[in-house]
Amino acid sequence: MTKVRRPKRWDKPFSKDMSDAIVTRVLSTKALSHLNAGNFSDSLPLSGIIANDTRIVYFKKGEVIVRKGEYGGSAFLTLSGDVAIIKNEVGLEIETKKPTGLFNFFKAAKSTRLLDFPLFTTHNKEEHLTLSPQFQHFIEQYPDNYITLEADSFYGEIAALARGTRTATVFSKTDTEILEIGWQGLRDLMRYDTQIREQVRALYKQHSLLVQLRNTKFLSHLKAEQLQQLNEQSLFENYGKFEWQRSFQKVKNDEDVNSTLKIEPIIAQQGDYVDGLLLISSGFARLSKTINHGEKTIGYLKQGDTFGFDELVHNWRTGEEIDYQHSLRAIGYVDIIRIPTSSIEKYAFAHIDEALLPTLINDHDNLDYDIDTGILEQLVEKRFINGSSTMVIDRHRCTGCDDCVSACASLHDGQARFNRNGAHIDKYAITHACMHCTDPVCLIGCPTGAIHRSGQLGNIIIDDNTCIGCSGCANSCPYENIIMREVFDDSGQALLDEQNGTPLLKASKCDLCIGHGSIPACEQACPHDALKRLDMGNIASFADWFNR
Amino acid sequence: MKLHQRRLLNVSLLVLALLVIVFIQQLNQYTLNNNAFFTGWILLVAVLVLYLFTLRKKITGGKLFLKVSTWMQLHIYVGFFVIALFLFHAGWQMPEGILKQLLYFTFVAETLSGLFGLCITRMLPPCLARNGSVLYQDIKGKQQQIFDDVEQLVEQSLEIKSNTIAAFYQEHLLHFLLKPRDFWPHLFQYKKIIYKFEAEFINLQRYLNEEECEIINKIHVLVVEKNRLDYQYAGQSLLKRWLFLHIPLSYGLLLFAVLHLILVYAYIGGL
Amino acid sequence: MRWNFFNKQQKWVCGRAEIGKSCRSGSDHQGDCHSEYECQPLQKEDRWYCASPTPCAQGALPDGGCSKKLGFCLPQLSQKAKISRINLWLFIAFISIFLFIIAAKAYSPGELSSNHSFLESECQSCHSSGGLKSINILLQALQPFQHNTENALCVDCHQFGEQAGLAHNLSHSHLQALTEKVTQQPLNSTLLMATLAQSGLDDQSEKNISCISCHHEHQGTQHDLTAINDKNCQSCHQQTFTEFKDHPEFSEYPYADKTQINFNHPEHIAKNFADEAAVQPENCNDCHQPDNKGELMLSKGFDQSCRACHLKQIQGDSQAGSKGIAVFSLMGMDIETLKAKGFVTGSWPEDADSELSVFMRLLLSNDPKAVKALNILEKMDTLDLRKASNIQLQAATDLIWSIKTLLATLQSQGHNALKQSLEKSLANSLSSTKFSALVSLLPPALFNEALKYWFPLLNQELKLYQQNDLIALKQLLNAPVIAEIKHIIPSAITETIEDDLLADDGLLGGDDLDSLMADDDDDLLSLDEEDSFDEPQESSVKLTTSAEEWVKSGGWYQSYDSLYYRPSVHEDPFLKGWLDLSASHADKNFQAIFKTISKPQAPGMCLKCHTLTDDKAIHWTAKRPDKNHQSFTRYAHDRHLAMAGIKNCATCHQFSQTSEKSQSFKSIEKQQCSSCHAEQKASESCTTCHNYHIGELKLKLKQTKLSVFQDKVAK
Repeated sequence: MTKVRRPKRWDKPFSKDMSDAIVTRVLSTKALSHLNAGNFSDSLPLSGIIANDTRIVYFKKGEVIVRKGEYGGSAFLTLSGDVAIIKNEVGLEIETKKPTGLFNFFKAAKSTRLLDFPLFTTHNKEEHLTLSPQFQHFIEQYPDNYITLEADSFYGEIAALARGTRTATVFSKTDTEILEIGWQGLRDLMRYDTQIREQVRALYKQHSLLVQLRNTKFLSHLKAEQLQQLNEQSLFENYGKFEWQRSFQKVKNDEDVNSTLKIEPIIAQQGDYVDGLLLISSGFARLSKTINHGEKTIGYLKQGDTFGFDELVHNWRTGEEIDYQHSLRAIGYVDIIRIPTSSIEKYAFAHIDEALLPTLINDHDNLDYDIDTGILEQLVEKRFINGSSTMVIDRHRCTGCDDCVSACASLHDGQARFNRNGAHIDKYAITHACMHCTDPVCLIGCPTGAIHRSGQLGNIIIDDNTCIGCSGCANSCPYENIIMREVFDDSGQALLDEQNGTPLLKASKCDLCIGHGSIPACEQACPHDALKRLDMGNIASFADWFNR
Repeated sequence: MKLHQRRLLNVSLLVLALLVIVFIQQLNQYTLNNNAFFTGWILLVAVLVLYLFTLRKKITGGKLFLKVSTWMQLHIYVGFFVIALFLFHAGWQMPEGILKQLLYFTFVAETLSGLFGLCITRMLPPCLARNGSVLYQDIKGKQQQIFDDVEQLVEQSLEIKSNTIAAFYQEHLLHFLLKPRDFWPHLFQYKKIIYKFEAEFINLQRYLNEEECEIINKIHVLVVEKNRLDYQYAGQSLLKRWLFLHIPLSYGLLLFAVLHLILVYAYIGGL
Repeated sequence: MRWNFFNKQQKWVCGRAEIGKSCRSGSDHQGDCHSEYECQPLQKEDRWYCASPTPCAQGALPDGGCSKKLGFCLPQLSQKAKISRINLWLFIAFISIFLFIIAAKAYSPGELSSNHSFLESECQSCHSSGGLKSINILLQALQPFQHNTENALCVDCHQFGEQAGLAHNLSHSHLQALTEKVTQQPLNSTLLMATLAQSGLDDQSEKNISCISCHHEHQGTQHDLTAINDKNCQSCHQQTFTEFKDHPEFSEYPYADKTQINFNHPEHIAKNFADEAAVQPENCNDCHQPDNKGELMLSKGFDQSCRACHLKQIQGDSQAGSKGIAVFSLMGMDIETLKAKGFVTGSWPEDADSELSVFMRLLLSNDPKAVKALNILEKMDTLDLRKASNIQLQAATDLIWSIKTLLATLQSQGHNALKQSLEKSLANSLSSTKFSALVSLLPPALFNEALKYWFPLLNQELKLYQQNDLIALKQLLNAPVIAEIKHIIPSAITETIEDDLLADDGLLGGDDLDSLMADDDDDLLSLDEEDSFDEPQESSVKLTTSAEEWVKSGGWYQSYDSLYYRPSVHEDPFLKGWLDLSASHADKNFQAIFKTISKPQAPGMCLKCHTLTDDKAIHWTAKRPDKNHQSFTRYAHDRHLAMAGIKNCATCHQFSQTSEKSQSFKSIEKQQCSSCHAEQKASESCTTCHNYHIGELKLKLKQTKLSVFQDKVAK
């Protein structure tokens, strides 16, 4: 029987170089100097947070600090030097997913860029990504393209808080020294210090607004001053709870099919006056239409989608005053940017070529995808739409050969990381396999950051070395896709806690076979085309699979 | 690509390949070449492609190989191709000689098991899915749980000083609940067992008071669930067990085929 | 929540896993269970607490033990391990079968056809690998395919001559000669396929074709080894067709080859049979019957079909001219002139007026002097030498003496001398059988009689001649000639001879010499003499018929200056012997003989019916089946004639009015065959009518040495 000490938070610090002297120096910077160590608890002292959840990173001139589209869980604070944010990167987006499959290779090759030179160069994996000389030259020639950030403000907080992708690329204008604050550190700082909390939230709002306006397709045709006007007149709202999984877990097994609908806060009600254009900044919102006494789900909106656009255009063009044609409800936690009707008409519609705007509304039930309503209702109701790699099994083709499980096990030390059981929707089963949520609530409670998003691909993965087996993520996962599992030694026996003799546990879940090819082993291994990892964010593509 | 489109494409390719083979065979008849060599080698190569499927299944995480489902399609359609090719090679008749007959029967058994497997892998899963899925390895656990629950309910019935339910349990249910039953009837969708139970439960209710009725109704639900699990067990067992015929036979087939090849070449060259 | 986990590495799983109650730690790699209790309670100060992550209601026992005793379980093999185990056993089973096959050498690919069934256990008879042990078989399998050796073991028994491996067993040049690439076929699908199939191949015509290309063994006892696929034929034959109706037209089939016996059917039927109603055959079968195989229609032969009319012809019954062949004959000589010019010739029958027979010339060809003399005298009429030069006269004298010497030698030494002489001419030895046919019992008495009649004092003359005593020779002839003759010649004919001699007028007693000389007609001579000529052999009886008539059934006879042979029967040994000997001999003397006796009207009239082969031998018989010889085509007369659809021979065989062929039949047309041999009807395959293996096909017979028996006898 092997007995070992149960691992704890801060067993593995963010960086080993954070000596006391550096911690002191960091705490003395302008942005952090106001912090009062007394506000922090004994188990989580301020110095401990700085020492273990932050690190100091150095960037040379031209090096990229965060890149748009990348996933990241940390925020930044510049200690010395200047950093700038690239303003308009239309057409410069990196692929958020590697091309999948043999034939997608060609699709990837077809994507066009605005600039005919590489934007970034990298020499090897160890080094930071660097702006290519041509791109650097391009940026310097057109200073409009970037904004230099204020010295003492945080940045990178959107990805850290919204558990999403980086919304813009930030690069180092000069040689810089930067404090990188891990997401757990930021969370704890915000928990114990009101000022930081307010500051970061304000920044989050401000940055989100900017980014969202800039990234909304039809607004990209506007000029800077019009955008500025919109920015100033827009409202930032949020709906639902940040840790929405708790309320969801309570009702998800209810017999009443509308119980989840009931806990979803209404953002806009069908039949209400169209008071503005709603942009989804983060999270998911259910789009529904009233049928008799119930709500028929006809789709869902995700980050970057708009609500009320068609109605606005219709009203603007015809002078009529039709109401919202659908209802919008927050699934979980949703950030909304509301641009008032008058502003949008004044600063946007007046300046955009009419051809780019949608036609009049006549029949709104025509969706551009074809999916069975029952399936869609259940996917939304059970919040599977959160998944970016949801494992769906066609039970009419699945023979139960367990090849998927076996393949998974052989790539993961002999232990499979998912359960072939799961919710049955029509003839499909949504299995207990990590869906790699767009909004991964499992990340919220992790004390060590063991569960995190991997950089470029955004897979949610668990670092076994830092996992302390607290079961936090397993408990927060509303889909029950993370389990706690014994750790075995070489003789096949479970490792036991030296204190109480119970087996040591680690959180275990699907990691999408990171590093083993673009298609996860389970999907690769299915001989009967029964298993597919579907990106629920792309409703048209998964509808295709359901209708194959 | 939709599944039916894929099927159409694959069938067309298969037919095309067979036409090519038939054509070349026709051509070969105008030479003094022996068609058996031509079909034999193609057959061997095609059979090796079939084996590659097993090999592919053993590799996981490879970046270079096609998906297993693609290989499965290849396996199925090359399988059909091989059946036709085999008939060409064997000349649509039983061969002479012990080894050749052994090879023939092994192949026929292998083919039939494969066709059987294909049928059940396409036909059974929808039936099982409609019946409510359960993981194969969970079935025995769940049945044990049902057994425990039923025993508990029976004990409960004894506590109210009545042994009618206990006797009924002893007589009708104990044997049924002990382990998975009625393998074959379930495979043939034969529902008599559960109907028999239904009738017995109804009959029994005549002699029970309200309290007992509540217990027997709970037992009834559990028995129906047990029966469902039996169905799942039968179906899923079959889906797993047919491979015990298909895979070992393939080893035998390869062995005999190689021996056949060696002998053909050893004896033809020296003739 | 617990998942029933799939763990690939676990060989053993918790014994309670199957019923869904496995403990957390499970079995170790050896299949041992270690978990007795759910948890190990934790002590805090004096109390023990349940330390499980999911604490139980009962909590820890007061003594620090866990309240939830699990008890050891009996770990079970995991699903995967069970599968591997079953697979292993099944695999072992197959390996055993595999090894059994190898051990039992049960690798015959099928029973041999019944023809080869005796070889069932003797693989090495046909396979060079037949006697090999297991591993060598593998090595043999890796050997490159050897074309040359593959037929060797087949032709060990099945002899197809030198060119066993070549197409049709014919040499490449022979094949090419036969291959008439007729006009280009119009492109049809079959031709297209064949062309396409062979486009990638080398020219096979000079290569060995392996027997197994067409003959497939090990197909079971019932398999017909000779069943050949038409497409096999078409792998070489460029004119490809799938139906018999596309077969090229027949040309002069089956009359392209001359028959071995001349027989003009229409003429016989129209004329000859009409004249001889008694012997006229009623139907074709009276003369023709199929052979044993039922293929060739044989004619019944001379005795049954021809004798009635043709024997008389052979014996020369109704024939004009000499009915015998002059074998030994003396040429007419102008003795008077020779004598007048002073040449010493000795005696010479004065009635000799024939030419020197071809046989005599052959016999004289061994005498250089005679040869020279004959050369000089060529184209000269020796009956009148008055204008001859001295050299010619001398040559005539030499010839006379050479003939005398030859005859004397034959007289004294008989057959032996004849044989020696012939062998010398032939430069080859003669078997006694053959020789006896050539001389056909030439009786010594007749020969002696003839010589005495021609040269009464032959021996004395020669003696003196050899002594070169010419004066004595003259005296010998002048003085007591008559006395000598009287002494020698039987008294019965003395008178006649006396008259003749005295009349100096040969044997033509009473007739005018001049008129005969002017007539110079042998036939007339012999006819005329019938009444007056007395056969010398008959010593005491006055002959009423001529010698020629006397030997009506054939044999030797003498008449005047010649010894004749009259053919006796069909297959007369003398004529047959001499025809065989001379037909193909290049020497001019033999050729002269052949020319003489092969004339259609020559005695025996052999070559009136018998034809010559291409290499100048004589067809003594009509075509006969040769079981060792196979030709390209065959036709089963018997089966066809038995069929309802065919009325009689005339269905196919029709007389031709115009044909110059001796049979005078119209060529059979393809349509006559293809009306039945067509798709869905009678067989159309190539091998129905054609043979692949052409030429001499002999079975190699085992040689049994006498020593085999001698040993046994000795024991």
